[in-house]
Amino acid sequence: MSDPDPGAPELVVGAWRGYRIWRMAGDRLTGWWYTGYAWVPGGSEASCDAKRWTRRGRRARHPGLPAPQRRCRCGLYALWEPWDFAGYLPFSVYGATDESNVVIGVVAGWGRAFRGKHGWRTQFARPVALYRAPHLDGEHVERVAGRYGCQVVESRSGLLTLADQRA
Amino acid sequence: MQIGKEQQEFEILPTEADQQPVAPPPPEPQQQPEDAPA
Repeated sequence: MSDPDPGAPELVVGAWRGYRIWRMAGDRLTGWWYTGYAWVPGGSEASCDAKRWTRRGRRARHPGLPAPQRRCRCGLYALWEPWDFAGYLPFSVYGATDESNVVIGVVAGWGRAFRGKHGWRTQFARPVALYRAPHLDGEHVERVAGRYGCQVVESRSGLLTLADQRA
Repeated sequence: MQIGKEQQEFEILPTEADQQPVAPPPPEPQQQPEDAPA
């Protein structure tokens, strides 16, 4: 019998949950950071377009390997503890300066995964809940949530409860 | 988004429930045929 590979990823059962923000573009959820990537209802799969310089020019950083990879920043991201607030959601935590059409929510992730002190990045993810913040058009949030099959919550406690649940 | 420099690698096996919609999709509005009489 051989020893387990010490470099092999640890196997866990059950999707992780965390918090993130999306931009609402029409009825779609898109990424916020330097990407217009549109999330797919039912579950999105991460891809990587990172490049590295070679003698033959720019090449994919990890061709043929799924995202996320250790020496890359790819993957679908979420945070464990997004806030420390009293009655408001701190968009600044996420680096969002323009709050219009930006929605905070709970996301579930699975597949290949990297876990850090503040959050995680995974191969697959899907929205679980969206927070209908007072400044947002409530009907718009409902419409987007319906497209993605996720809940709409009205409060911090609603998001916290869902984030703590295993699906 | 910064998740931390030290990152541990995992393989997460989703449960069946993980991949089910949390809320059922809204019912599709009933479509009227375009040539239906008014």
